[in-house]
Amino acid sequence: MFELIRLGLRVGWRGVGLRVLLPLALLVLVASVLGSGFSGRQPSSVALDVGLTGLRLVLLVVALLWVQDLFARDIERKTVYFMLAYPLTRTHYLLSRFFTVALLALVALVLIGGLLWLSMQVSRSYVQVTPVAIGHKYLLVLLGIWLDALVVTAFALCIASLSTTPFLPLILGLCFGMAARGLGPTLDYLMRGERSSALHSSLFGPVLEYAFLWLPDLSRLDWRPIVLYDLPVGWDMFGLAVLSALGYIGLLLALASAIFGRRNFT
Amino acid sequence: MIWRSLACALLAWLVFAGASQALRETERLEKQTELLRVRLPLPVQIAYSGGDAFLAANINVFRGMMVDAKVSEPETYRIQAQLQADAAWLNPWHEDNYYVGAAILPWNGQVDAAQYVLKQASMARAWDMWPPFFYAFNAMYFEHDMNQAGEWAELAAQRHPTNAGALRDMAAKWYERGDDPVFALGILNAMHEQSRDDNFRRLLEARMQRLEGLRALRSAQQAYQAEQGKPPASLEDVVGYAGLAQLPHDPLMLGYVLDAAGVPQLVDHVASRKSQ
Repeated sequence: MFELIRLGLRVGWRGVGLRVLLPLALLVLVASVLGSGFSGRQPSSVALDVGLTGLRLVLLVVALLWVQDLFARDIERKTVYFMLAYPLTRTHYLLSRFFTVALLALVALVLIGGLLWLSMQVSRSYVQVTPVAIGHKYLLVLLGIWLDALVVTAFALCIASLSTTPFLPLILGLCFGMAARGLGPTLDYLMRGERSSALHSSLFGPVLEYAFLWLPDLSRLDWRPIVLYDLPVGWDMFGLAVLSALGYIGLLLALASAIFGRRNFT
Repeated sequence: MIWRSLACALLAWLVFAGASQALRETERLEKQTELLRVRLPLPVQIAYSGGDAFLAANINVFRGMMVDAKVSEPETYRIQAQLQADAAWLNPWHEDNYYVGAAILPWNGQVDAAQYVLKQASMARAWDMWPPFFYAFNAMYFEHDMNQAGEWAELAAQRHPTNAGALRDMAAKWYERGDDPVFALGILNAMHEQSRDDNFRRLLEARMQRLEGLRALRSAQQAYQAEQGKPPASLEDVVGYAGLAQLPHDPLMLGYVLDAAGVPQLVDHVASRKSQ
């Protein structure tokens, strides 16, 4: 299995490697610098805010591309036969693909997050009242973004294990990522926001109220205010969010392995 | 053969250059890009930001920053007020949002939205004295609710112990003097000095010039009343008193009116109070 992960890392890096990640990282940095130009009072916070938005978006897309490259394409090109001819179970093969994408996503995260961190070290002429907290809290925020990407990866693997067309995991994964990230704020607004309209609440409330049972609230993994505004770390909330994300990843991987184990490739 | 191609190229170039020449003279279709017209429901804002609430907040704030200093149209400010209130809900810590909100919204009749933005910021930014301070000022100057103003000034004082004495002293003066343009000028002047955005500074300068006009009108009206023993019947009556040579020019082209007691007021200020 470790050999398979090692091989997978090389295949993935050849597909979406530095050649793709570096331009994307530059794009994120440029957006972050341009965004800070709009801010009169907190340019560093807005620069980091826009940068983290870009990082989350890029990580979502590249993780899905890697799932596509390493798993969906194996099935499409029938190379999955050779893979399954190795002396390991289908579940092991699936898990090795998940860990491969997780490690690749970690590399992308460190690359872009590191460049963003470096760009924050450049001193600015304007000093904010509350400076950004770019220390250990930043690592915590990156961890949250990585977990967010892992949940989407697990979902895409689950879809790929039953899909017969290679682009379905990519498209559904994107939709899932955006829905799961927007679910929390939308629901809060409809149910508890004092400015929401009664009609919207009564229309969408019943549908979305129990969404927490089947759709994870990925906005809970977005911990960036602690860095942007130097807020205290809410360990209870963070711990629960991590637990919920890990549980959801476990659920999806178990489902994927059950489906993939019974799949007929002839 | 080559001549035919060249002739075609020449003909095409003539058409292109002629049309471009004519286009230069023609007015563009839409020259109102700096106006705001659209505010989508908040769930849609979250959706088009890819589910990212912080991006949605930033987009709203950036849109508000793009409004040109010359714009005085009420609809634009109504939309900006909603966008900023949405941003305050999505990211209550956003410093630019509450600062721009405090500096622009109440002065254009959007007092409720401004107070909502400032309240959200006051609760989220527990270390920051400015949101409760601006909230207190708006309660005093626009809403004439001195109890609220005193409460929020006290909150600001607690957050900034070194300024606490001065803040409490100011709140006490508010009780005495109500809506004196001198106080408003002081606030706008302080915001102007602390800002580095040129468009925003121009906007504040226009507002300050306007308040200077109001101040001159008020002192002329007081001089008129002292001399004649009755309030002026129209704005023109006070010209010539307290060194007022002519009616002051309002850079926002909205102007001044006399209220029922014969005291000069800002036109939109009176209108917004009526609508509330």
